[in-house]
Amino acid sequence: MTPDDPVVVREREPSALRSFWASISAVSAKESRWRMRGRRAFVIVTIYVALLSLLVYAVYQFMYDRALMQAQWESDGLSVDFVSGALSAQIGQAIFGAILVLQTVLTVMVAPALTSGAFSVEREKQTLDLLITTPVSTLGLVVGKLISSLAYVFLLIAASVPLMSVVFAFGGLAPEDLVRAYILLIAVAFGIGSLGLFMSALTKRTQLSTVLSYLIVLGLMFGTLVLHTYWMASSTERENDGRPIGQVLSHHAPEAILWLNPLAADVDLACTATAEFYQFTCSYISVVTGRGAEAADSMRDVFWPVSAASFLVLGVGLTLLTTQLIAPSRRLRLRRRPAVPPEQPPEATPPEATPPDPS
Amino acid sequence: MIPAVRIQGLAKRYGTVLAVAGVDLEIGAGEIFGLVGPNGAGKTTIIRMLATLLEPSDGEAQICGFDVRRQPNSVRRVIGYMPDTFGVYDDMRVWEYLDFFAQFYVIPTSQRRQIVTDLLELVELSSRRDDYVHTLSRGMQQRLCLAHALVHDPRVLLLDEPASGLDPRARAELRELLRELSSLGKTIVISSHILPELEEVCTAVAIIDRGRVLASGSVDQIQARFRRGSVVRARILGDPDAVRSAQEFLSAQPDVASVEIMSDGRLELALTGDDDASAALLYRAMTAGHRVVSFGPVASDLEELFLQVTSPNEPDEQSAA
Repeated sequence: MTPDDPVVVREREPSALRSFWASISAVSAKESRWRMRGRRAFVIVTIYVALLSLLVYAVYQFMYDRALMQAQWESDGLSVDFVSGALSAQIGQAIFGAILVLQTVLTVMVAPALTSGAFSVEREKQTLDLLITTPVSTLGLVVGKLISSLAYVFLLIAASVPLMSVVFAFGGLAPEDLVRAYILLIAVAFGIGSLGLFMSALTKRTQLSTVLSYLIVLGLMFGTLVLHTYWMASSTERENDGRPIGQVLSHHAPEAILWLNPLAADVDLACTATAEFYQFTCSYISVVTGRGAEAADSMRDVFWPVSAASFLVLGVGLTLLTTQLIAPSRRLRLRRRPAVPPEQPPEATPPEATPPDPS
Repeated sequence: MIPAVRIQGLAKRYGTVLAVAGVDLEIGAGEIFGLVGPNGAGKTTIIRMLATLLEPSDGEAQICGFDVRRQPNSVRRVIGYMPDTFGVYDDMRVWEYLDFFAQFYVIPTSQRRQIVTDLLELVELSSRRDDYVHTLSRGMQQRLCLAHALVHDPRVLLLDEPASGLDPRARAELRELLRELSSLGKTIVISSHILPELEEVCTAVAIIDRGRVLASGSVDQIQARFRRGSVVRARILGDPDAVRSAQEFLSAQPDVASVEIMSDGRLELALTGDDDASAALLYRAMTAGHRVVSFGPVASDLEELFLQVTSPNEPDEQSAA
């Protein structure tokens, strides 16, 4: 190698935006290659779709049997028209709800598994320093990791679309219902994925990061539910013997507790799809939002968009916090920010370092 | 002309522990500068601060005129950093590894391919191009890590203990590589506690202990400042009588503190003079008819010096020096 080899001295710095894109593409390409190499990734997708198919079949069979029993009860064992619109729509809505809940649960289980090691593994294997000493854009680094992890979650979600389309064969749902469901799933995946990423930047050990991520996910799914239910119960006026009067006091539990509960949003979506307010899903949501069942149309698209937006805000916030944790020098600047001069050397940089004295 | 590295009053505090306690250094462009010191002296902390991985508690450092604290991104463009311990990614091929790092410098794809090829040739890993990184031997990984630090043709290389864990042959190859890089005009800052290595390759060294620079300059300069006599071993051809007569002769000479006969028949001389004095001594011994076949310092000069300078018993004398 001689000095005039094509390894040129690059004096001009590329723009921050180009650096950002280069970092994203380098990191996400590397991570995706790592994730997709070998058979594992495809085996997981196959198992996932198989699981969903089984669920769809089970729900269909359950609804069918229940309708059959009901029909025998009501019409003295005579045959019933199974393809009646009402029953078919019920089956469609049940399948929709089941797939939605299962996918939500799988998403919040898979997303932390993919992201909670992102930076802690690099720390454990001592590869992070090598990355940080390049002019990598830390935001690009974090976003690149997030993209490559979420791409896999989105692949799983996308793999369910054909199965989800089965509901149209039964009817009872509008295409918008599916669009709503996928918007929510993507928002949840982003929020929970960022949570895992944040934990991996916060802790030094992957084990701890993973455990903390799942604890928080459990807290969001069940902790908020318990808290909300308890709050509701304690703020409901009661008879002397403890029976609730049903009158909710003015200071009832705020629905914000459940904004980050993906299951609550699922319940709202299921209610929105059926629009039959005697159902459990709708009565629950009407209690949560404090709106009466009588105001049917005013309940549509009220709770779940707020929930989805909350996950998006959570994701963006945690992603930005993660970049602060990863950058070695920026953390201090949160506390005391020195005047940052433009990144210019004090003098013109020498064209090339002079070779050492031969003596 | 801006010095390649300029450090002023650099300090790093961990709680109450002062890992680096006010270091001043200036390293000229094109130098191979050695940071020498025992384990825990603060070498790694200094290098990590220069590499923008640690925020200094106090003081300043500039690399090619860029401040490590205020212009970290500009610093990262001119340095190539190799940590003392590092890991490699699983499931990544050798060329992918270099290409991955090159992407962060926004080097176009066509150039990257050429750079990877050139660097693999430079560190003699061309034949392992498509192998997985984790299957390489320790020495090969070390060379690959050095190559990764070169993808953007940096002006300053920060190498933290690059020779640790290498066998003697790999070390010799590394020295050769450093000379080659130096001839390409790169400034190299290298830390080590293995001294003979630095002595051979460095144009200047700084001896560091407990977070302070005890001495800096070329190896000769430091020796001249710190020399307080040396220990030399000599082998005399002939029977034990000849050795004894040589011992008597040498004991009587000026600049000789003592002469002892070792169990293997060699003589160990404690000298008080400088190199001129020992040359004169050897000449007198030869002209007096003593058949001296070897006459040399016990340890490498730098090693002896190092032990002398960092001796834990004399902290006052060191800081005065």
